[in-house]
Amino acid sequence: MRKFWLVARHEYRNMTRRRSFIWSTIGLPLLIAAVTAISALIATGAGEAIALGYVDHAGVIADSAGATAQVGDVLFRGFSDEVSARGSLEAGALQAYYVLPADYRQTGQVQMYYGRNTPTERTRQRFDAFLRANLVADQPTAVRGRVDDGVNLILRSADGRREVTENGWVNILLPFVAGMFFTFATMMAAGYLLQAITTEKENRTVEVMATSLSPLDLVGGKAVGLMAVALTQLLVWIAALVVGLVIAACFWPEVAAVRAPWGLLGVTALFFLPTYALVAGIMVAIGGMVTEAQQGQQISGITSMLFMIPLFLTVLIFSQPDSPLIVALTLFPTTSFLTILMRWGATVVPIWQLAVSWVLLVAAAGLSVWAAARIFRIGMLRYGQPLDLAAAWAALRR
Amino acid sequence: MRNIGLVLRHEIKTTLEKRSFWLTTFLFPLFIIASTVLPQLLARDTFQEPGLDTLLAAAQPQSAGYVDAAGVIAALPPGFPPELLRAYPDEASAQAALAAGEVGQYYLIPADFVATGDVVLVDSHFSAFTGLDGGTLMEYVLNYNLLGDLALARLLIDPTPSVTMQSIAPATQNSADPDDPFVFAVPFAVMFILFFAITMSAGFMLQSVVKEKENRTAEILLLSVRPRELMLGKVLGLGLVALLQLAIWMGGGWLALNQSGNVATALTDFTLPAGFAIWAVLYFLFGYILYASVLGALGALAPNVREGTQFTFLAILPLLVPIWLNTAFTQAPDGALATALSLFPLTAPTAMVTRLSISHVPLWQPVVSLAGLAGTTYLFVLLSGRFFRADTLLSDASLNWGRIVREVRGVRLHLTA
Repeated sequence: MRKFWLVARHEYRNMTRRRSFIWSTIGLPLLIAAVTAISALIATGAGEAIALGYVDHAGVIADSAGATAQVGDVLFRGFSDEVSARGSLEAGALQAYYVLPADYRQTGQVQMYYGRNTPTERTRQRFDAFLRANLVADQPTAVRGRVDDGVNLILRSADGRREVTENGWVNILLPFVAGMFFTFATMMAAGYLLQAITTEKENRTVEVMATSLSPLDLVGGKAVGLMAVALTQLLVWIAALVVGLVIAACFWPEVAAVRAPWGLLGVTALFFLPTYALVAGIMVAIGGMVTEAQQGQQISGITSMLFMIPLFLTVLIFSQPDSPLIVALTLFPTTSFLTILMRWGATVVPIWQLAVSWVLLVAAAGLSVWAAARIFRIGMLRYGQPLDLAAAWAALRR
Repeated sequence: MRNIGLVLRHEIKTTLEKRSFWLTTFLFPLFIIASTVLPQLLARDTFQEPGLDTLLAAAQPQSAGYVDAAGVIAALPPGFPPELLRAYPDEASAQAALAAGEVGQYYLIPADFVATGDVVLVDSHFSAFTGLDGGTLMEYVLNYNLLGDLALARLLIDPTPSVTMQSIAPATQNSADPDDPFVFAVPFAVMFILFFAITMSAGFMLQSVVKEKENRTAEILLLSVRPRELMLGKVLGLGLVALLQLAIWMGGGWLALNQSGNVATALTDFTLPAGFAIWAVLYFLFGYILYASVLGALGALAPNVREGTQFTFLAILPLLVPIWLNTAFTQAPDGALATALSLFPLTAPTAMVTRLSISHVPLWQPVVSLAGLAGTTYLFVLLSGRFFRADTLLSDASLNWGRIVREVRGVRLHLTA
């Protein structure tokens, strides 16, 4: 047992002192933060002033011709006729202009003219909001405020377990982000495990080690040491996320609405260990079968896809979180952890699904560790020869 | 010259004989389509917010209940199907109706609704993303009752239900809606195709050089071929292979665009500007030579494939930047960031071609950017040629930052001398 911990400590120290580990641990959150911030700035068009024109033949907008109104970062300019509006558009003073025909109130039909680039959805929404405010301008104050602001919908599940509002999007996205980080950390640790095993096999260190260590001490020690590495990485990332949220809460009120997701943390604690054991087992088995590190990486790349499938179905998970395909992914051991985390924000995952999925995952993890130990032992004894699938199967049946 | 031809032929032959090359060429696009377009197609209907008329005329209407503690709803709007909304006196009876399956959801309108605007929607199929769109019908009914004007209530739900959009620009490429995900797909696909074509073929260059170092073929080769000839032959040979791959992907994409008809009509509205293919091929060629020379130089220094690939990520990092910041190209293709990325030589190969596919770029920009790219490519080829020496190709020294810095410094001294 002492040797087991010796190996674990060695792997942990060896890995956390690597420059590449430090870079990926600190660099990844910084990179994501930078890319998100720049993308958000572009998407919200910060600093970019929008000017929209309108020609109102329907008399919806009070003193329209020649008037200007600044609403947020959008300047609305009224024109008496289309010729002058078009002149402004051609001169580049406007992004687009709308024409409201005389029968607008009955038909709802409008024309929009734009320059080189089609106005984005966001720009069109601004004009809609401007029109809405003008349509109710002559209503009594209480009614005007209500119909202009619209309904503030609070969505609640039938069992009362979940409640979201339009401002609560951070609570919906948080589990998704957490799922991605957990999966990356798990796959990275598993990748290191495979690398550690294949490199030692390739340079024959494993033959020397086998004289003083049992395969369990060797592989188990490595797996536990690298899991500690993954947990260290996750701890740093979670700390960075919490700090980020605290800072963001000062700027965006939506972020302040974030509640500590205790249920999510509980599920994560339950699923992380068996998922890691399952991946680690698969990687050890691959490491035991191949003789070259590169070959191992190629096979593990394909195997990792089994764990990543939910990421490719993100749209489906968000739009139809309870569809049969997604429920199947929730129950399937390699995809269960990530699917559950991704579904967590979007829907209420039924308790029976969580329970069945956990039992299946633990069974699969146990099987994977058992099979890995057998395959690794046989693979280690084969001098420079790869183990094919038939031989691996034979090793399992022995 | 003969030696270059020999190396070139060998590279083409060995790459085309690799099963992995054909697998990636044909399976990769299928994989990308399966993982991006399919889920979008599956989920498309759910994410398109239905208009009021669609909701009212639903073939299989899902009944909803409501409990109106605020006393706002006196009548349903004329023409509103009564089976869509059922009134319940209190929450307990609404809950019982939900449990019995009479209604799929129910609204709770609190007594202070007019002041706060809060409406609770209790749904038996809770879905945080799509469920929040479920308030439209109730908002219409509430607006009608608050205003007493049917036309106004409708307009408040959507003030511009029918917009005719028209561009005054002389020859607009894309009359299609930029927010349609399927129109997004074209510039996105262009960016991805170029990125993968450049990085994969440049990656082949790295592998080919290091493999020959690793299995000591380089030692024999250098007896009869000069290092520069080896490099040139490899770059040209793999470049031709990459062109073939690009032709297959672009051709396949073009065919899909023409055949897509019923699947995604929006795609057929999307036309690429004249001369786009020529620009794309020019940018691809220079981009490929630039990155192939960088990765070839890494290959010449690395003792084995593993150490070489460790630095690949850093080498191709500039090409990844436009992919990370793809919103800059779709939201503001003529914005400062997108323009800067398309003029900077290391990011230009993907950035400029993406911009050309989505927006009207003034002619001087692709010309200046291509000239810059060509100049940079020339410098990188010169630099990388200096790394292709008998001593580096035969050396077993491991590849690390210190060595790269030393080699680059040595080369610079050599160049200035």
